[in-house]
Amino acid sequence: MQQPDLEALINRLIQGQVRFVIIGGIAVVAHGAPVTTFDVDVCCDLAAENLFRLQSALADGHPVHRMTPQKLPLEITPANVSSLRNLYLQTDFGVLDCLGHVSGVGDYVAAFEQSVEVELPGGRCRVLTIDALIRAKQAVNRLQDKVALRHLLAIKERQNANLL
Amino acid sequence: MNEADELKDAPRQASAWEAAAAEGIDMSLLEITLNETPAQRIRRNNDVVKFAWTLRQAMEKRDATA
Repeated sequence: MQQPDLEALINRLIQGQVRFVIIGGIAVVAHGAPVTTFDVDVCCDLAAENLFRLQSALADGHPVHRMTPQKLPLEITPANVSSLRNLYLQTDFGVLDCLGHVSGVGDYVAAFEQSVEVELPGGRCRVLTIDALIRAKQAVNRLQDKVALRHLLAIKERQNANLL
Repeated sequence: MNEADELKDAPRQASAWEAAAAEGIDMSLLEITLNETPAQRIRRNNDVVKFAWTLRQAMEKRDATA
């Protein structure tokens, strides 16, 4: 297993012109919470053409379905592309989860509408807004999200105070 | 008691910042990251993930030779 590089993973998606919105831990980090996340979660457009772009973008990272016991390689084909909803992948760059729907937010179109553009060294990408991220964290209400939620609410409060 | 007096006497609700601090979250770290750009924050996360991986490799190597 090689050293993870989550930035390289995101850059692959940007360079591959994949339509996605960063959600989850990286979005929490991007908004300023001093936490660390070891994977990349994105909400993806599930259109066939976009999923083929995703597959091409990740090809040199040898993506596999990490939830399958045999770690089956990612093989998106015309026959299976319309049935895909969520992809839980392990790549050479790190773990990537591609979701078609975000709890508390909605599908890719809804996530895009509730996202902001962020300039990264590898190019521009979309990140869920802090309000949408708070809704998503409140919707799932997992133990691991509670600290992130505390941070996000404090950041939101600070942002509101600065706007007054 | 008029409305103004009722508001004055009502217990003040802790702010989100105060609530987080009261639960033991180190808000000084948040002050630091809020001074960074999103790109800097993502780079820092990446650096931590890489370092954690390197450290784990070193620990496994140490355990194997112990």
